[in-house]
Amino acid sequence: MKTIEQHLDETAEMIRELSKEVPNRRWVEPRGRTRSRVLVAVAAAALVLVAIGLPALFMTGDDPSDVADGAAPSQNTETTIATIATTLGDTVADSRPVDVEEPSAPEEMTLDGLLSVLPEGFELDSATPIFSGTGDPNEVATRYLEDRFPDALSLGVGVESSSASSSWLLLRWAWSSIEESGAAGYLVLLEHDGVVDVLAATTDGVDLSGLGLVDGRLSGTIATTNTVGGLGADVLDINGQPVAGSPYPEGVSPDSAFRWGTAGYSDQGPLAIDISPITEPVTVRVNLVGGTLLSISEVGFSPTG
Amino acid sequence: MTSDLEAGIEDHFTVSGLSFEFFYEQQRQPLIALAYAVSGSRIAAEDLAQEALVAAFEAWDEIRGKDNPGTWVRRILLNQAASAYRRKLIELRAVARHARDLPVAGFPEVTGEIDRIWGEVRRLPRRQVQMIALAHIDGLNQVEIADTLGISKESVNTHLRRARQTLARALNIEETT
Repeated sequence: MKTIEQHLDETAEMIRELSKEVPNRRWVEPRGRTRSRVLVAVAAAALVLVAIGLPALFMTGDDPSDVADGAAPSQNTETTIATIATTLGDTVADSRPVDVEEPSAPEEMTLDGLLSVLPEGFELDSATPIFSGTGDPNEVATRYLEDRFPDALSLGVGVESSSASSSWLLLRWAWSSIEESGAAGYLVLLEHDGVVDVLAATTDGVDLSGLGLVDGRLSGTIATTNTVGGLGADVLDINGQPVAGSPYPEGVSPDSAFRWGTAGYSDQGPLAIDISPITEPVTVRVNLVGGTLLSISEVGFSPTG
Repeated sequence: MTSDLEAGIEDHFTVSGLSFEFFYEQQRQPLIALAYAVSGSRIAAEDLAQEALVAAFEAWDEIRGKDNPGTWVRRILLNQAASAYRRKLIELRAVARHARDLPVAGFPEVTGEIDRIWGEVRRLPRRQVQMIALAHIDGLNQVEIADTLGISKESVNTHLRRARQTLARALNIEETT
């Protein structure tokens, strides 16, 4: 009779033999994964903040205690934030390698236009935050992007431009050095009492308006016309863990390691979600995937009553 | 008698200053086997190995002079495989590639004894899974396992013993000769 160690050794040998059937691939240096590009972008951003952002802040005459006291930022502060964000975006854009395609020009951002791709009933004053932080809204937005994109730092996703009202802020996010992407979108931020909430993230071409939470049932479809990657979605609790009933890829059994649903590419139809009961706040997080996470579309839902 | 594979691994636990291309050629296949053993994901095994090798490439200037770059890359792989988030990303990436009809090598289909034994291994606590895989897939001794995981040799000894006891009970197999 064989011992457990013998069983392990024999089956380990089988695994090693099977691994030989995985075809050999010659090493090809990954593009856009070198450190120098990141350092250039970081150095440029730091220089811009020091050379332009800080003097501009002092020139506005804003009282920093406004923020410390939790008051809404003045228009001058918002203008300064927008200036920093725009200049930062330009500087990062200028650091792109010459062989990288320029991303498409940012679409004109309007809140109404953005609401059309978010679930019906999404309202700024009652939306469930998907991320919160303190400090400059652009910094909070950057922290959000870094949290959601595993390759944010090495591939350079960031804020490109912004538009603000007295309370909300729209930020355009985009990749700065990922040539095949073109994925970009907006973040909706709300500032209150010194806290900046990210209320929603959108991606151009990805439509979340078909989703809804009614009587504890989260259902609907996520559609995309964006062809840069596969479409994946997850429904997460407040701890970031998939809730029971999270979508799974087609043809994959729920007991596999998969936790995401994916509809493949845009010509393979929308991704359906149907989960009930929803008794706690959840987040629907949607990504285009191709080589890495390419985009973020995200919105929260809270059951009422 | 030492197999070619064991000899290859041995080389990279002792040789420094090697070229990355050579390191890649020698390490890729053992890393795929290790990735499959700890993750159980046929579709993600190759990408897990590739991710670890890309990380090694990016840190090559730092790790090439180490006595054991093979230890470094295994630690990266095991951490990535243990991260549900990273694993999810890697798996979906493979699915996306599959959906686009790009070549998906993947790990060959696994059935029978491998499934039975290693399915049970993957039900163990994460550290024990890693130790069993390093001990049996890579053939590392307790000192090498301790070095790879950054823990003491005594801890490795204890965990390995418990892991084998648990497996023997679960699989109704004799523990030792």
